[in-house]
Amino acid sequence: MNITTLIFMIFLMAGLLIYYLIPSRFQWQCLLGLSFVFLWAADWRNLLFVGYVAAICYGFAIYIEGMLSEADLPEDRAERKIAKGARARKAKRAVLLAIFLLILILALSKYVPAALHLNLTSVNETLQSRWRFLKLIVPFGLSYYLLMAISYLLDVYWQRGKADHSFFHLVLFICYFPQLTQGPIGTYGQMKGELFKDHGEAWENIKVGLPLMLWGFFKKMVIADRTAVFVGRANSGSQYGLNVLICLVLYGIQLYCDFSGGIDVVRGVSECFGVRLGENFRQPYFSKDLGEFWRRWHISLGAFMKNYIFFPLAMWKPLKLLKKQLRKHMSMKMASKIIVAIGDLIVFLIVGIWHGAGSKYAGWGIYNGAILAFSAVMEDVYRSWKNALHINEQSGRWQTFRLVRTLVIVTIGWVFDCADTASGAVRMFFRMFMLNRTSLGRIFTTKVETLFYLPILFLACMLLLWVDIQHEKGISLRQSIAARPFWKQAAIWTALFQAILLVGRTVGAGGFMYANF
Amino acid sequence: MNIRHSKQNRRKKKQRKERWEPQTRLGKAGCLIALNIVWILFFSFILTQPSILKAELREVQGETNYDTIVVGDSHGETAVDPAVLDEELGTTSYNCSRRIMPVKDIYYLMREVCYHNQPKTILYEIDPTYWRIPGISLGNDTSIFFAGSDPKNRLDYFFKEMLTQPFPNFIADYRLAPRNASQIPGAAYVRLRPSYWHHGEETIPMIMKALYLGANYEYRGRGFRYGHSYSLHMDTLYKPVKFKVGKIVPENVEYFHKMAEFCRSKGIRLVCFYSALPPYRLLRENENAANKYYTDLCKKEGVEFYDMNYLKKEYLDRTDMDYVDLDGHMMGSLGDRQTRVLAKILSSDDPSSMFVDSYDVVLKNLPKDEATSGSALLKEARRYTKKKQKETERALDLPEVTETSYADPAEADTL
Repeated sequence: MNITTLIFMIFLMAGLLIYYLIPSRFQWQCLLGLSFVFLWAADWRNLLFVGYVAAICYGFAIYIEGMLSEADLPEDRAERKIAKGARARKAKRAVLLAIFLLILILALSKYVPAALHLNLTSVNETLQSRWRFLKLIVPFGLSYYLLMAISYLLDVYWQRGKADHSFFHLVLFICYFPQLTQGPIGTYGQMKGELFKDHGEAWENIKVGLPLMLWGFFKKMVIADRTAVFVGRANSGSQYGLNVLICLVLYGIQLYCDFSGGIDVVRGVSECFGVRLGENFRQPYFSKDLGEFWRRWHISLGAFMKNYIFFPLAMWKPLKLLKKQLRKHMSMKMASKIIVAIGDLIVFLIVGIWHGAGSKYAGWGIYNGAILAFSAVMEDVYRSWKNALHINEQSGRWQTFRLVRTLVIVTIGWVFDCADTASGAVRMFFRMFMLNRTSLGRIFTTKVETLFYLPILFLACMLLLWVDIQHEKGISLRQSIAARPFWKQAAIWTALFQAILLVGRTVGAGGFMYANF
Repeated sequence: MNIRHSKQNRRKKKQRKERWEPQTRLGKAGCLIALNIVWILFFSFILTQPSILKAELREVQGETNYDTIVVGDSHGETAVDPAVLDEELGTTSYNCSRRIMPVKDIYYLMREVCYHNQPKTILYEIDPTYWRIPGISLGNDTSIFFAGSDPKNRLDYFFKEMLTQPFPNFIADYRLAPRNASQIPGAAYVRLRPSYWHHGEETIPMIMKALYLGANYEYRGRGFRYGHSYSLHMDTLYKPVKFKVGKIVPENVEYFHKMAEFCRSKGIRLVCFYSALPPYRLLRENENAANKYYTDLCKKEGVEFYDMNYLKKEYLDRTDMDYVDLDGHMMGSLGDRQTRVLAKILSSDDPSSMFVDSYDVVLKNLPKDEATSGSALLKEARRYTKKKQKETERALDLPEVTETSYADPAEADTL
C-alpha cells in the first residue's frame, strides 16, 4: 500500500478512529492489527516473512539471554568459570546462527534472484493456478525490519537490553507499519518505550502528526516528483557535458525531497498514533564533510552501522592482529587510523549492498568508503597543510569551502544512482567533461514548460531551504506556527495543502524511492 | 494614562480577534476543512476544464440511440466524421474521442456509453502514444470519475482505480499547468454561462473557443472536429518517436483486454483502427513495429484491426499538407476521406484486398516532394500568425448558444 494513495488515507482514518475509540491498554494490539492489514494488502505472504523473523528473534533472544544469565551456575569458582565460558560460546553460536538465518532470507529474496537474473514476475507466470500460492515475492520492508531484528538480537547478546517474553510485542516492533516503507530503523529499546506507552489524546497527536505529513507530501509531490520529470529526461540515453551535471544536481534534489518527504510522512503518521519515531534526517546538505553528511542522511541506518558493524569490526580479532602488525612499522595513531579506514570501507560496502544487488550499489559504497578512509588516514597531513597555509578553521570562508566541497563530492557520487552499473557510472562521470556536447534541449524540451515549472520548483526549493535553515538553527517551525493565532495557522496549512493539489500532481509519479530498498 | 489606554486598546483588539476564532477543537477542525473546501471549489471553478466529455456523454445517453460510437484520443476527434459515416452506412453514430484520454478511461467510457444506450459497433482509434504512459487523468477533462453519470461505473472506477492513485487525484480534477493556467479566463467565462450547466452538445463550440481549442478546428457536431488550418505542434516540428514494445505499460494492455471482453459480453462489434499518419512520421518512425504489435494483440483478443497506413495508395493518398500538424491531426477533408474508406472497410466482406502487405510498399507509395514535406507544413504554419489566428477566430465567431443550435447534426455543417 503506497502511502501517497487514497486507500492508505482511508486506512489511516479508519485506523485512527478505531485506535482512539478503544481503551488505551488495547492500543498496541490495534497497531498490530493495522500493521497486519497493511502487510496483507501488499501480499499475504509478507505475514509469513514477518512471522519467520519474529519467531527467530523471539526464540533465539530468550535462549541467548538464558545462556548469558547467572542463574543455575555451579557454586564452585573454577566450575563456574568453565560453565560460564561454555554458555558464552553457546550464546555466541546462537546469535551467529540467528543472524545467518535472517540474512539468508534476505539473500534468497533479494540477492539470489538478482545474481541469477531472475524476473520474479516471469517466474510466477509459469506457475499453474493450483501452485499460485507459491508465488515468489520480494517481502515488503524486509531490508528495514531485518536490521531491526538483528539489532534486537545483538542488544540481547551484548546485554544492552532484555529479551521480551511477549511474542506479539516483538511482532509489533518488527512490523509496525509506518516504518516498513522506509524506516527509520529503530532499536527495541527506543521503540518499546513508544509502542507500549499511553499514547495520549487524539487531538494533541493529530495536531502534531498532520502538519508533518503535509510537509512531507509537499516535498515529495511538489518538488521530488516534478524534479523527477527533468531527471528522467536528463538520464535517458547517453548525456554529455552540462546535461550530466544538471542530472546529478536535480537527482540530488529529487532524492533529498523524496526521502526526507517520505520520512516526514512516516513520522507524521506515527505521531498521529502517539508513537514518536526517531529523527532520521537532519539537513545533510549543511554538512562540512562526507562523514557528517552520511551521519545526517538516514541517521538510523548510520547509527545501526556504527553500533552493530563498525564498532564490533574494530574489536574483531583479525583487525586487532592487523593493528598489532601495523604498529611494528608505524605509530599507534596511524595504525588506529588505518583500522578505522578499513572499517569505513567495509561499512560503506555493506551499506551499498544493502541498498541493492547491482554493481552500482557496491560501486557507490566503495566510492564513499574510499573517500572517508582516505580522509581518516590523511587527517594529520591535512592539518599540517592547513597550519602551513595559516587557514583559520573557524572562518566563514573555510566553512563555506568545506560545505561546497562536500556538496561536490556527494553530487558526483550520485552517478552511481543514476547509472545502471558501476562502469556506467564511471563513464557518466567522464562524459560530464564533454561540455561541447551539451544539449539542454533534451532536458528542457519546451520553452513554456521550462518557464512555468522551473520557477515553481525554484520557489519550492527556496521554501525548503528556508525551513531547513530554521531547523538547523534549532527553531521548531511547527511549534512557532502552533503559537500563532488560529487563522494564521489555518492559512499556512491551507496554502501548503492547496500547493500540493495545484502543482503536486505529475503523470507517472510513483511511490517513494527508498521503499524500493 | 496613555499607557493604560493603549493596553486597553490592545486587549480589546485581542478580544475582537479571539471572538472570530473557533473556540472548540471541532470548530477549529471544521473551519480548516471548510477553508480548504472553499479553495478547492474556487480552483475547480477556474482551473478545471469545462467538460466537453460530459456534454458528449449526455448526448450519447439522450433520446437518440447511437448505434455506432467512436472512441479514442485527439487523432480520433479529427479522423472520423460521424455525418459521413452515417451517410455511407446508414448508421447513427457519435464520436466520443477525447484528447489525452488514458486507455483505462476509454474502457470506462465504453461502459458509460452503454448506460442508457445500445451501440452495435464501437470503433476504437488506437494511438500508441497513450499506451506508453500510465493512465492518470490530470485535469484534462478525461476522467470518467468526474464526467460520468453511471453510478455503478463510477463506483467501479473508484474502487479499481481511484483508491490506488495519489489521494489528490480524488480530491480535485485540476492542476496548475501552463495550458490550464492560460485557459483560466476562458474556463471562468464558460462556467458563468447558464447554458453550460445544461451540458448539451451545443456548448461544445463555446468551450472549444474559450479554451483556444478552436483555432485550427471547427466543431461540426457529434464530437467531430473539422481541421481547417495548419498549426505548429508544441511550438516546433513534431519530434518523431520510435515505437518500442518494451515501453508499453502493461496496465494499458490489460484494459484493452477488458474492452474486448466487455464488447463481447454485450454483443458489440469492436473494431480497432490505427488512423493514417502523415508521411513525415511514416518516413521517420517505425510504424511497421506498431502495426505488427497491434495486429498480433487484436488477433489474440479476437477483435478486428485495420491499419489505415497500410491502405493501398488509391484509397487514401495524402501528403503532410492534408494535416493540421505533423502529429497527425487531420484536416477535415482528409478526415472525411478516411471516414469514407473506413465505412467501406466496415461494410466489406473481405477488406484485406484494400491493404498492402509490406511496409516497404507503404513507404514507396508516400510522396517525397519538398512541397509536401514537413518543412513545407512548418513554413505554412509559421505564416499562420497569431494575428491571423485571431482573424480566423473572429470569422468563426459563433452566434449565442441556444438549446436548439445543434438539434440536427446537419445544421452544424452550415456554420
